[in-house]
Amino acid sequence: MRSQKNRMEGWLKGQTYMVEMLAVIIAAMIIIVASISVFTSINNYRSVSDKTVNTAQDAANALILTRGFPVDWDQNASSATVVGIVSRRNVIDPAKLAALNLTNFSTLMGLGRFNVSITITSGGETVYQVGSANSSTTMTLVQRTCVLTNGSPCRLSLQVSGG
Amino acid sequence: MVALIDAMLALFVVVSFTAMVTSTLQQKLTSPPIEMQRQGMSVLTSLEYLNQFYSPTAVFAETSGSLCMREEVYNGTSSALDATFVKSGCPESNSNEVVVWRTSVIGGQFKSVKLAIWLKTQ
Repeated sequence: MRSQKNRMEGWLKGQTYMVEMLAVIIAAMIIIVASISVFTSINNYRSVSDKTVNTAQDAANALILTRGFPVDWDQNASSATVVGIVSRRNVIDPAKLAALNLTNFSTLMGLGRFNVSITITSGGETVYQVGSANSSTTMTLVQRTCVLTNGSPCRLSLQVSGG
Repeated sequence: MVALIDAMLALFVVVSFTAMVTSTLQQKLTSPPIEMQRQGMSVLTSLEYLNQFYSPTAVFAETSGSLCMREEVYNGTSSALDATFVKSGCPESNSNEVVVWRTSVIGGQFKSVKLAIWLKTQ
């Protein structure tokens, strides 16, 4: 009678361990699947975000380092295929700057589906601003140092938001 | 005893996972060296056009507040240091600084200019 009771207790103990092990395996699998899902989401977000950042950096370089294409695009803004706002590297061309808002500059820079804002400041004062970007949803802000025609150093800020 | 080891293992796993997520997210926040190099090039080009290699304060003031930089002007063979300028409010150097060089004729003499850039730490 005693040995039968012992055998019964041992069987119950073994069954408890089995249930515990199954619970741990299921919990571990849930954690692993959740982890993979979190990392996949983060990587997808970063991939889209990185592409936007790279495009914005290239656009800022095209603006500040090139005269655009065609070189005299400011004479006929609709002909512009590349927007550049300088007369020589980093030196702002006022005529090109004035013509910038006549172009679809965000599309030409490959950022058509975003809100793009271009601001030029000098000595803390805003000397030029075109486009609009929402600061609460800003994805990237690219800044370059530039020079105005009067010889003052300036800062070009390209802000990309939304999308 | 087994429960203690179990709890410590669980804690270790949670801490490791949190560290991995934080590390992944931080990679996005830090400015990559290539972008700092590009900003450095635009600073050097502006200094060169304005001929302000020996008075870069005004140009430094037009750079992002999150960036620190130090300019060093050397002789043509980069063997002797002529002058050093550090952006206002920044320490003199940083172990993670990115360096950009430019050679230029300043005052009729061939010079090498080194610009070191790094992210400002709070």
